[in-house]
Order: sequence, then C-alpha cells, then structure tokens
Amino acid sequence: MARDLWWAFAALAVACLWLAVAAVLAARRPLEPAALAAWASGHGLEGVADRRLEPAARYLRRSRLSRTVGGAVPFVAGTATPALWAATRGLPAPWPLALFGARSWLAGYLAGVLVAEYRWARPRTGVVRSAALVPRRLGDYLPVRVVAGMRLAALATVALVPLLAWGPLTPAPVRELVVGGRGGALATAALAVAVAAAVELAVRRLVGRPQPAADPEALAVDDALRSTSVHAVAGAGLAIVLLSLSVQVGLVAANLGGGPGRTAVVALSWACAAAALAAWIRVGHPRRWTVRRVLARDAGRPGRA
Amino acid sequence: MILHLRTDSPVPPYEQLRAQVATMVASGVLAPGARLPTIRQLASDLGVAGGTVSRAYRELERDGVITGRGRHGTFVRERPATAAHRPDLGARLEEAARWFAVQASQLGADPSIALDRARHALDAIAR
Repeated sequence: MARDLWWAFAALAVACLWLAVAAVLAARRPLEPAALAAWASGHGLEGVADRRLEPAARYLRRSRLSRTVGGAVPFVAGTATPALWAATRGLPAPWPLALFGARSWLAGYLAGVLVAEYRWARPRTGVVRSAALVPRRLGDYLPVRVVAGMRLAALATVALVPLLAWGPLTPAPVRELVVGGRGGALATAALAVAVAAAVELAVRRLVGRPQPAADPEALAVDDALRSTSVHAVAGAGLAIVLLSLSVQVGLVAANLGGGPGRTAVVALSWACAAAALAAWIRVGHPRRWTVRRVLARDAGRPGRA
Repeated sequence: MILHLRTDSPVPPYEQLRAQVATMVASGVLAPGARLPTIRQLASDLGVAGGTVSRAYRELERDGVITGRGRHGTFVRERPATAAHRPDLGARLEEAARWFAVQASQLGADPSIALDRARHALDAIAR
C-alpha cells in the first residue's frame, strides 16, 4: 500500500524539507529593529544606548539561528526522512528514525540555545577587570515555579511507572510490553528525570557563567541576554518533561477498559501536551522579564539569609 | 556597586578587593545586611583564583566589616566592629598607609597633594 501512495509520502517529505529550510532561512535574517526594541523594552532596557544593544542583536540572531537549526535537524530526521523512505522503499521506516519524535525537536532546540550561549564569549581582557558586587541567583533570572514544576512533572512521570508496570491496571502481556518496550514507562520516566536534571544543571551553569561588568548598562544588557537564554533552555526542558508525562498518562489511558475514567485520563494526557506547548511558548519566550538584580534597584539592599 | 581590579597594580588583588568593599560599606553604598556574591562567582567574574577573593573576604571578616553565615552566604555586618574591638587597628592602618604611599609615589604625586586627597576621601566617607 505504501508503494501505491509513494507520491503522497514524497509530497510529505518535500513539504517537511521545505518547512525546515524556510525556517532556517527566516532565522538567518538580521534581527528587525522593532523586534530588538520589543526585546529591550520587555527586559527593562529602555534608554540603553543603541551601541550597547548592537552586540545583543547579534547574539539574539545567532541564538535564533542556532535554535532553529537545532530543532530543524531532528524534525527533518523524524518526518521527511521516514516519508522519503516510505515513498522509495515502503513501510516501515527503520527503527532509529522512530526516535525523532516531537521531544527530539525540542531537545535539538535546547541544544541550539546552549551552543549559542557557550559560543558567546564574555572576554576578560585588559588590565582593568570588573565585576558586580551583587549575587546572581537562579530565581532572579527565571521564576522559581518553573524549576519546581519541572521537578514535579518528572516525579509524576516516575510515580506512574509502578502503576503501569506492576499495578492492577495492566494485564500481564501489556505489562511486559510496557516495561520491556523501548517506548515504555521506564524509558519515558528515565528520560523525564534525565532531562529535568540536565536542564536544571544547565540553567544554574548559565547563571554562574563569568560576567565581567564594565558599567551598569553593560551589566543590564548581559543580564537580559542571560535571562533570555535561561528562559529558552527552561522552556524547552519543561516542555520535554511535560510531553513525557503526557505519554505516560496516555499509556495509563491505553490500559484502562473504557468509560468516563478513561475519557478523563485521555483528557489529562492531552492537557499535559497542551501544557508542554504553553511552556515552550510562555516560559521559553517571555514578553517581559526584568532581571531582579538590576543594580539600580537591588544593589546593596539587605539580602535574604 | 562595581568592583574594579587592576592587574598591573603593585597592590595585591586581594587588597584591592578588600579596600573597595570596605569603602563601599563605610560610605553606605553597601547597606548593613546586604548579601555579597559567593567567592566562586566573584572569582569567576574577575578571572582571579578563588583564594584571592577568599582572602579578601577573610580579611574583611576579621575587620568586622562582613560576616559569613555558612551556606547562607556572606553579608555586610549589621553593626561594623568599632575601633575598641580591633586590637590590630594600628597595624592595619600602617599597612594601608604604606600601600597608599607606594601608589602615590608611583604616580609621582607631591606628598602634600597626596595627603590632601586622602583627607578629602576620609571626609567624604565620614559625611
């Protein structure tokens, strides 16, 4: 049947490739002045000199391109390649391609953010070195509830493993499949925990990266860039963990007989997927976020013990 | 609130840090109870060894300017230690005066002008 529909698969492959290439080309364009102004205003940088914002514009463009390429590669691998395979050699596509689901697009996107951030050098050159005498805390760059939510979602994914593997819900053959299968409950839980831990470590590292501070303006711009990277990483990470939870809840639903209970669990699974999308958009790309340690307000104030 | 460190200065880096933090506290720029960055953060930002910042913090703590609260961090003391509580005040002043003299001499400043500037700086802090 797949060979009969080769043109449909070929069209799908071409469409996916076209989408990916278009996205990368769009990301390569220089940042629009209006977009830069909106970013600056959203991060409390009104009144900052244009020459200060020029490097920020370069970084934002580079980060956007890196994120897009990071997401496009697994997207093509997971959609265009299997479609091309089906069009030319028939179904099913070889196993490794099955790994490139939506979570891999987000993982590529996340990797793109990190690559852009770590390629952004913050040089400490010259005989005079400077630093702000203000502590940097993760909570200043990212709402603490995001990290808490990510931990909670990962724990929920783990908590469902016993229910799926050994609980009364699952009939024995399915239990074996779930525990032993590649896309099973254990693997999903392990992925969620690993991603949550890695993302938390990454955002803490991003906050801790060296921050030479020539003057308060340069410091504020650097804080805004840092916060943008931290949000992008945390948004993609939270989305991956929530998608894993959605898959896990979906497995529970698949093992329920039927009735209103099953409908509710299916709805919960979809709600988790919707929350993942919302996390990627709202947490990863906040319209407004001013780093709370901006000097004019927080400097020298009594700190929390 | 920004610290500057001159790598070409004859004054050791830890002393530069100590002096700047002490001045900020004395002048009220750093309020009592204000939290200071961790040693690791400050060392990483300035590109110096952790021991340099650690020594500056140790000296400031010894002088009663800041206080360490274990894992909660390092804070500016609520009540700076008074001269009566510092038996080594004379030695510390002598050390500071020596550094000042070295700096003024390297700049080729006239001693009377240098002393005048020092008096102005002290008056500014006292105000």
